[in-house]
Amino acid sequence: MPAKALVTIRRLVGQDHEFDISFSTECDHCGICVKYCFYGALKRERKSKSRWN
Amino acid sequence: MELSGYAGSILYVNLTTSQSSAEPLDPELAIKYVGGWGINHKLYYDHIPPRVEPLSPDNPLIIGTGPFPGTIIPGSSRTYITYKHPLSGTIGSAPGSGVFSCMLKSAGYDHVVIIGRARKPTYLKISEHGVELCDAGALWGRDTYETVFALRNEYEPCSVIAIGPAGENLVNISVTHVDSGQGALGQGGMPAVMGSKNLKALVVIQGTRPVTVAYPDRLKKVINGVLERVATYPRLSGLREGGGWYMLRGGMGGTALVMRSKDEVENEANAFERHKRSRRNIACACCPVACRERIDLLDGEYTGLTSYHSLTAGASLNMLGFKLSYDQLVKYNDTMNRYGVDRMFFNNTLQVLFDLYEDGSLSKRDIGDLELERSFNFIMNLATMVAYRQGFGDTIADGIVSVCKKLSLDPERDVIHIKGWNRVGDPRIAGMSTGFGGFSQLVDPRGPTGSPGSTSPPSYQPREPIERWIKYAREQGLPKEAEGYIFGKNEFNVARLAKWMHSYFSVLQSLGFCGRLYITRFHDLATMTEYYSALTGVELAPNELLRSGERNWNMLKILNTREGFSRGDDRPPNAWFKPLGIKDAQTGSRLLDYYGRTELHKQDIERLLDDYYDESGWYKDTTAPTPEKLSELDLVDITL
Repeated sequence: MPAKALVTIRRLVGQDHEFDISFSTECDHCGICVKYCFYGALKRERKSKSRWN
Repeated sequence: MELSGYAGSILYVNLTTSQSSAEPLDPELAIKYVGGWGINHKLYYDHIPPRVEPLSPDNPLIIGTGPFPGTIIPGSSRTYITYKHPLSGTIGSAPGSGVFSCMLKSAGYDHVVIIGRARKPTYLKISEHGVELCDAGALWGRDTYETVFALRNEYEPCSVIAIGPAGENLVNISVTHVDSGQGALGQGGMPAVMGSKNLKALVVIQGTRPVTVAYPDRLKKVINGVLERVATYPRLSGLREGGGWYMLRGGMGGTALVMRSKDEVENEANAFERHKRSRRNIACACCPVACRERIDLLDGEYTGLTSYHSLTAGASLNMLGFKLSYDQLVKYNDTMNRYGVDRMFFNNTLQVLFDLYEDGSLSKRDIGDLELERSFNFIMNLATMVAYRQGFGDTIADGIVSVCKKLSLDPERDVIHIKGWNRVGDPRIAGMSTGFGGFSQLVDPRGPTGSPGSTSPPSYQPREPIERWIKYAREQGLPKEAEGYIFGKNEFNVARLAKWMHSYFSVLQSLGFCGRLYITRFHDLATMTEYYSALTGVELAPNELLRSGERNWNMLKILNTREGFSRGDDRPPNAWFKPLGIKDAQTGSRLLDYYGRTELHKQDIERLLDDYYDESGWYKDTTAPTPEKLSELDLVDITL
């Protein structure tokens, strides 16, 4: 839910409707943001055996 | 009592005294009126006396969100601004999309009430840390996009609603948008109201206040179901590729505009291909449909132009006999957006002038020596004249009724308008439906927007099977007993059905949910109710939510009844009862019922109006809600 979201979407001024997407260091890799992005802008890849990125 | 889904505060700003204060949002108020335009209407009733002048300091701007914005409910992006319209004197709520509503809630506010007039050009800055009236001297005179980008450059992440020259010059047919193009906002002159207050812009800076959800897992379950329906919608890829133009080509049948011969839309197929190459989708907050668009012209006469449009760049102007290239249409739309002049009102007024000029009823002298010609240069010059109130542009800026007065025309005989709005869909093209180009245009208290009667997919198409109408009517909460007398074997009472569609539409506008068919088609009353209960923790049955919608629609009616609007203002244009002189119309050129079987005469429309008022529980002459209806809706404390 938005109250717990740790993904930051920053709209670039001068490039209206262009965005920079980043994640807070507190992101726990739950993947909800990937699931609810309607446009496939986010992807979940396994970085190592023990960690998703 | 804690209520999830709401920010919890109403902000009051007095531009005259430069004072502001925040009051808690009363949970009882929120439960009764839901939010969005519902609470806006109640705030207007409570705080603003009847019959204020539209451009006086007393005319408010009441901004409302709703419980849904700020969550991941698909389509929950709406902001509503309620005010008295300079164009018509009606009171209504202009909807806009984008991210403004989410930003406002993250800053801690559900509603903002703005009254008064600033002493000098000002912009209002709202954040979770405070409210500030800032000097807008350096911005005054700049167009809407320039103002939006300047403020976003300073305050990003934020959202901006700004006015351009048309608002500054108090043009009645002005309009603006959220940010640089996420939804037109303020038809009927909201920018003029802002201009009269010396209010150049509203800026809300993103805050950190969360929107809490009462039952997150329950809400996610409903959302997942809707998203599955969206993902399998067969026209979604076409919409994402071609935008609103794609839908207009095949979907709406041109009922939103008076059409001339299709031969006058030159090279439409080639232009559409260029459009597809030039555009990209823009989504409002949390919407999976992305029906807005950004256009980048990478070559041609206006190389480097980036502009933003809702719906199509191509449909409207070339229908008036102009033969503009795609690039010229984009440039025209971009200019109008920057000025803040409403294209629909402007184009429809042009049609009147050209018709009268070409049949000899108007001379060049009548229109300030303006040489009417169907050229790009002419249209661009005239747009400037309207935005800056120069020459005959000053008359056009006041609206179609003023144009008629200036030209000694009879607005009831010579032009098509409803309540002073000449943005009227013509039902002679495709039959009398409920929404755009249909019945709702007559009875919408604000003006003929058509949207309230267009919540149902069949309302966009002529002669849809009766079973489709019944299906959607049931989904939108039509009671079984009403279904029995509204629907016949292969016919339906368009007026009585419209009443129920208006209640459902009012639900959407109270929740902060988009009213566009692109997203409403995936929802119904049961889904809305489950969203609401899971979000707020307030358990409601669908018919109770629909009752709230009806309550809020009646509040809108009450506000306008107080202003003196009555049955006479719901009159149909006289032109509807004459043949429409165009070729290739889908149902011929006379006013027919929805299925094209029966010609409708004036007395038939009067009977439909009687039916609508009866179904609504309103008096047939004053159109005010009866005491019984007020009691039924728990509005007994409301006086007219």
